[in-house]
Amino acid sequence: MKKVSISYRIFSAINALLLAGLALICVFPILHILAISLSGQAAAAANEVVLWPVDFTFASYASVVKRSAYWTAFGVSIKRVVLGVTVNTVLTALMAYPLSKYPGEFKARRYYVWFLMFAMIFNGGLVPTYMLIKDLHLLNSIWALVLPGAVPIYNVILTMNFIRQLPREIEEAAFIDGASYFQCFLKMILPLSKPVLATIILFSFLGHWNAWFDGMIYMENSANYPLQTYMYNIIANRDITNSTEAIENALTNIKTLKSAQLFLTMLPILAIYPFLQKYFTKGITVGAVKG
Amino acid sequence: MKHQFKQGICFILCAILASLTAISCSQGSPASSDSPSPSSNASADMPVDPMMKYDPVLTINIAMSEGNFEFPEGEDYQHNDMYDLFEDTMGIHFNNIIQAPANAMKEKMQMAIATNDIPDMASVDATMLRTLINNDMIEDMTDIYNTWASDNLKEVTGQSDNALFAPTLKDGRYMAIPRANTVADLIPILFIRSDWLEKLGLSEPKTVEEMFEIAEAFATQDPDGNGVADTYGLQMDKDLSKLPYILASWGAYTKQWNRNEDGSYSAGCTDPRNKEGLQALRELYAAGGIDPEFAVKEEAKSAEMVAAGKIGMYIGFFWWPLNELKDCVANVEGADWTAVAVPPSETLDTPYLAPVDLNTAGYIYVRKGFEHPEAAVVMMNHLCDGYGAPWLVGEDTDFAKGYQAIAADPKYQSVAVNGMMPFTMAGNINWGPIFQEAIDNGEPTVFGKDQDYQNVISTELPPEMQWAWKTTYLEAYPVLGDFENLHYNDYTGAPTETAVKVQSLLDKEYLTTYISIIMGEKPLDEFDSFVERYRSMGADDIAKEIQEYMAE
Repeated sequence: MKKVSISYRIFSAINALLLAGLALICVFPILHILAISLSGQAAAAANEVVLWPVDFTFASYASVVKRSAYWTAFGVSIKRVVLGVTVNTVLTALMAYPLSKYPGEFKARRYYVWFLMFAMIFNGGLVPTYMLIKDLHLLNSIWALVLPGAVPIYNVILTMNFIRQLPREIEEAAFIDGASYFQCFLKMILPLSKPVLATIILFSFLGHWNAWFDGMIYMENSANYPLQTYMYNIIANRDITNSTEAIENALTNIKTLKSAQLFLTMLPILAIYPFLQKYFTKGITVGAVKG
Repeated sequence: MKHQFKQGICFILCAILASLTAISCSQGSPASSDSPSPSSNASADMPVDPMMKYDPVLTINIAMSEGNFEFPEGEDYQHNDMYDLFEDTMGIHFNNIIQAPANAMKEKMQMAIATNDIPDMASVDATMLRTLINNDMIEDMTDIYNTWASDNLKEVTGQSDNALFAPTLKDGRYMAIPRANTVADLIPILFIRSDWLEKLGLSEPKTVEEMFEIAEAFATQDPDGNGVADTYGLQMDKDLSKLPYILASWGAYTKQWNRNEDGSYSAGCTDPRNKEGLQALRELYAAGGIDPEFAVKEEAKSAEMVAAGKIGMYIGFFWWPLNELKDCVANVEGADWTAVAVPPSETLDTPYLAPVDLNTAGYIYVRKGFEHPEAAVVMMNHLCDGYGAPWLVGEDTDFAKGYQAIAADPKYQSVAVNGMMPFTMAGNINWGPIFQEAIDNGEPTVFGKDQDYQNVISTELPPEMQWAWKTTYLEAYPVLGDFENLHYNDYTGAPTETAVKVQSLLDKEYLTTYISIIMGEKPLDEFDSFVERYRSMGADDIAKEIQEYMAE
C-alpha cells in the first residue's frame, strides 16, 4: 500500500475543516429558527436568542397546533404534492422514453424537441397565463397549481438522457423475445431508471412544496392557499393603514410563533431527503455527462 | 411528420395572439367623453332613503382583506355574525369574491384590474384608485354621494372641507368615497424610558433641545448601570421613518409639499429649516447618542434594541406600548416608559405642529355598471351613526347595538372585531379621557371600543400586556389632546406624472444625503448642494405639475 505523504494529510485535514465549517453555516439558520421557536416571546423580540433557547417554552408549538388556517394550508400542500408529483412523474417518464429514441427510429422526434425547447424558453407572461387559467375555470382549484407545470421540461431532458445511456442491447433482446415498445418501457426501462426517477420525484416534490406565487395568484380565497403562500403572508411585513390593524398586528405578529411554523414547514423536506439522496447523485450526474 | 411541425407553428401563433390580446385588454381605454354620461343604474328611480334596508337582499361582490386571527369553530371571513349583522341591518349581503391577506391584496387587485374583472366594490389605496380612474372602470360617485349621504356621514367623511376626497378627484368629480380614519393614528408621540430619567435625575423634556440633552445623557451616563457604554439615546433607522417628526420641531415639514406665498410649491426636504435639526442630530450622533449602525437597520431591527433595553427614546404612535415597548418591560427589570408630546424647539415661534397625511384608511370605489352604486353610501351611512361617530348619534342604532353585542361576545374574544368587517371607518375621537372616566366611575363597558376597554381593565393578561394596554389608552392616548396643531400636506392628490417616474430616485437622494450629514460623513453645507441636485432631478417639475393641478 502506498504511503500517505505528510502534505496530503495536512491537505485532508484542512479540507475536512473547511467543509465542516461550510456545513455548519448551512445548519446554523435551521438551528437558529428552532431555538427562537422554543424561546419566550420577549427575549426573541430583543434578538437575544442565538442557538440556545432563552426562557424555554413549547407555547409556540401549542398555539400552532390550534391554528386551523395553518393546518388547512398544510393539507392543501400535501394534496398538491401528491397530485403534482404523480402527474409530473408519469408524464415525464411517458415523454422521455419516446424522445430517447434516435431519429432513425422516431422521425418526428426533432419537432417534438423543438416544441419543448420553445415552451421552455418562452411563456405567455403573467397576465395572459392568469387569463387562461381563469377562462379554463381553474381558479380556486387545486388543478391550477398542478396542471400548468404538469410536464417539467428540464426533468424530461434529464430522464431522456438517462434512458439513452442504458445499453441498447437490453431493449433489442426484449424486442427479439416479442416485447412491444410499451412492454419494454414498463418492464425494462422503468425499473432500470430508478435513480433518475428518484431524482425527478425529488425535484418536483421540492418544486411543489416550495412554490408560493401561483397559490397567491390563482387562489381567490385564502382557505385554498398552499402552505408556502400562507407562510409568505405571515412572514412578509404588512401594509398597515390604521391603528386597529396595527394593534392586531402587534398582538399576532409574534416572532416565536412564526419560527415555529417555519420549522414545521421544513420538516417534510428534511424527512424525505435522506431516502432519495442515495439515488440523487447517480441520477443527476449521468444525465449531465450525456447531455 | 410535417403535421407535427404545423402544430408547433400554430401553437406559436396562438401564443403571440394571446399575449397581444392581453396587452390591449390591460391597457384599457380612456374615458370616451368628458361629460359624465347618465349611468344606467337602478338608483336613479329609487326614493332616496339614506338609512334604507334593501329588500330583497342585495348581493355585492367585494374584495376582503384578511387579518391574522382565528375564527371560532365553524365560522370564517364569509360566515360570521358580523356579515349577518350587515345583512340584517342594511339588507346587503357581502360576498368575498376575492379574499386574501392584506399582503397579497395588492397583487390580487392588480390581476383583477389587468383582466378587467374587478369586484363590485372594494377599498383601495390612492395609487390603485388612480389606475381605476385612468382606466375608466369605476362609477362617478359625486351625485350619489350628495343625494344619498346622511348629514352625519357628510360631517365625518366631509371633514375639513372635503379634504379627504382629494385623491378621488377627476375633473372635479368624486370617483370614490374615502373611508375616514381617526387622525389619532397619525400624530407622533415621544416615548421615553422613565426609569432612566429618574435614575439620572432628569425631567421630561419641554423643548427639543432638552430632549437632545437627555438623549445624550442616556448614551453617556450609563443609565442601565451595567458599567458598559452600550446604551443609545434615540431610535433611528435606515428609512429615517421618524425623522420628519423630529425636524418638525424646527418648523420643517420634510416629507410634505409646502405651498409658498407666491402660489408655487416646494418639497419639504429642501426647506433650509431642516439644517438646524440636522445640525442637532449630527452633534447627538457624534456624542454617541444614536446607534452607529442605524443606517443599515430597518425599523424592526432597530426596535430589537428597544426591546433589549438599549435605547431610551422612541418616537411612535399611541399603540407603541403594544409593540416592542412591552417586550422591553418584560425583558428588563424595572423598565418603564412614559409618553410625551414631541417637543418644539426654543426657536420655533408656533406650537409644535405634527406633520400628518390624510386620515383615510382607503377609498371605496363602485365598479362601473354596478346597478346599485348608492349601496356604498347607504352602507357608510349605517356605519357612521353610532359606530364611526358615536358622539353624533349614540348607541341606539341597530348597527351600533349589533356591533356592541358582537364585540362583547365571548366567542369572539380572540378575534379583532373590526377585522371581521368588510368595511370600517372611524371618526376623530380621543378614547384616552373616555377610558379614564369609565375606569374612575367603575363602568364595566365602554360603548364603541369595548374590546380594547376589556383589555385595559383586565387583571388576567400577562403583566407586560396589562402594562401595554394601560399605557396605550391611559398615558399615550391622552397626550394627543384634541387633535389640534396639525400640519397637513399642502398637496394630497395622487402622484403626478413626473413623480411616478422619479420619486424613488428622489427618495434615495434624500435618504443618502440626510444620513451622511447626520453621520458626519459630509459637512452640513452639503445640504445646499443637495437642494440644487434634488430640484434639478425632478422636484421642480413635480412642483410645477402640482401648481397646475391645484390651479384647476
